[in-house]
Amino acid sequence: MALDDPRATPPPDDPAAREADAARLIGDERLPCGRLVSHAWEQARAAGDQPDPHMDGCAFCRQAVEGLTALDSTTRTLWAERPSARTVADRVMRAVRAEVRLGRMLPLDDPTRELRIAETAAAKVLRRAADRVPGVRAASCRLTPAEGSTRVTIAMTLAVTLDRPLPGRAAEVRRAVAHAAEQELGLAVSTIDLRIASVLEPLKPTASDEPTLRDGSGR
Amino acid sequence: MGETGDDLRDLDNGLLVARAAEGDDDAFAVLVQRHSGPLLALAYHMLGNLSDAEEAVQDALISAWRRLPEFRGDASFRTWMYRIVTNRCLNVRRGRAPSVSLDAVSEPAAHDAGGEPARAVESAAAAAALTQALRDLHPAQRACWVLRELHGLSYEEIAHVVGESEQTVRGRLFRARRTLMKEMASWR
Amino acid sequence: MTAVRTASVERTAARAALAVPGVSELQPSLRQSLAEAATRVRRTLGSAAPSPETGIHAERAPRTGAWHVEVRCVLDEDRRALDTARDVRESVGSAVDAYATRHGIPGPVTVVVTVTRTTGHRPSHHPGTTAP
Repeated sequence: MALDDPRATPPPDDPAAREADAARLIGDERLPCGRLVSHAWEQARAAGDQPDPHMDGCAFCRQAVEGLTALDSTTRTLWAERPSARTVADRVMRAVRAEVRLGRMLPLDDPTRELRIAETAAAKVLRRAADRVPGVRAASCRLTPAEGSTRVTIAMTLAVTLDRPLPGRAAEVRRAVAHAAEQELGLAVSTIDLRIASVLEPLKPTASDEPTLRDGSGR
Repeated sequence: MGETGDDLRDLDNGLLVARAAEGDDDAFAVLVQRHSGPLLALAYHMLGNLSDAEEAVQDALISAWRRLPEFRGDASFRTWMYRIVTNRCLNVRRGRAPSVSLDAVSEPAAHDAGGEPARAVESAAAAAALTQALRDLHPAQRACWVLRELHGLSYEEIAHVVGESEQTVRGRLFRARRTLMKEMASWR
Repeated sequence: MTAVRTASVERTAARAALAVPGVSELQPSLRQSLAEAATRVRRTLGSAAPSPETGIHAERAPRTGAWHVEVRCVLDEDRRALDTARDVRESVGSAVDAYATRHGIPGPVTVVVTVTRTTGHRPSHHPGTTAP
């Protein structure tokens, strides 16, 4: 609660500084005029919206915020300095794709059982099939081979919009997944377990929760 | 079928993470595309050197790919990645002599406000001064300041990223801001 | 000697597999940093892991002279994976059989085909193969 003299701030490397940290709360400083420095900063930043008579007349406050404008505008310049991440993204994906994560091996529907497909590869195709059903997006997709046969169980979780009845939609997904499993892959499917794991907001054409991404990733 | 090419791009992070955790590298590619820009900017502002920053982000993303199956999703993917990258940056700096060349910093990716060359020069010089002042900060303070002022994370998110209490974050931020303001005031 | 022959059989098998319509590539090697991890795994599991270099691993049983060939491949999505995999098995099987007979190392040939991934539906994720 007590605010120590902040001018005595020890160098930040000092372990004592870290301990004193909690005690001094955030290490704020009260100006002789009674205001906290952090308050003066907030007021200065908000100056456009709400004029503050105290601020205009107070030398302490003015001194406390000196440099804030310069800092803020330079901060914006610094923020604009965003190196392109294209190279990084490419390198990462090259490494990731080289690091094959195959998962389980599943038998394709062939009596010899000499033909197999990696679970990760099959799951991608099946998720995509589910994605093609309007208002549906696949999340998890696991495949399990049955003992002693070439049959495979598919377990999938989905995110769906709620604008249509679920049973009909589930049937649609089931059909799409079964079709892809048989026609695109050549799996003998025994069962398809579907579970709805989350609700999907009705899809907008481009729903990106991160507007900044477009700057960084180009394209 | 033609639309599937872009399908993954409108998936939210949660769905992409669920897929990527099961080894779907196409889903991971979208996450990488979505997050590598901000993460590289973070590392760049933390380290002040592009090649170190690229290395830190690459390592962080590749390790994220390997660790995704254990990712519980109690934090958002973004916060999780910020945490991995921040830790890497702090470790890079700890394992290195403090005298890293600053010259590499002054010419980052081209950006031009368009117009008034004198002002552009001035603001570039100010940016260089701020970069210098940032480097002189204690790394933990710098991390808080960069996450807050350049990346707009909330105190709560920053606390999660740096693994400290919110109060510690506020304290670091206060001190960082005050030091930087002094530097910028005297620079003017 | 056998090592040299095995390598030739592997090359023969690789050529045959790549010639099958629908085979896009053999599973690329685990490179660089990843090779390290792979080595560790192999050390723990013994030496039975397929050669990471080619996506093809061939072995001849010393007693019976039987050839066992494993092919790991990436397939185009235009064809059903099962059909392509069958063709790979036939094609590799007869190529290896012919080679082995010609070189005096005949024996029954078994081919196991593993599909490690499928590609082709998503031009936007494969900038190199984008076609209008």
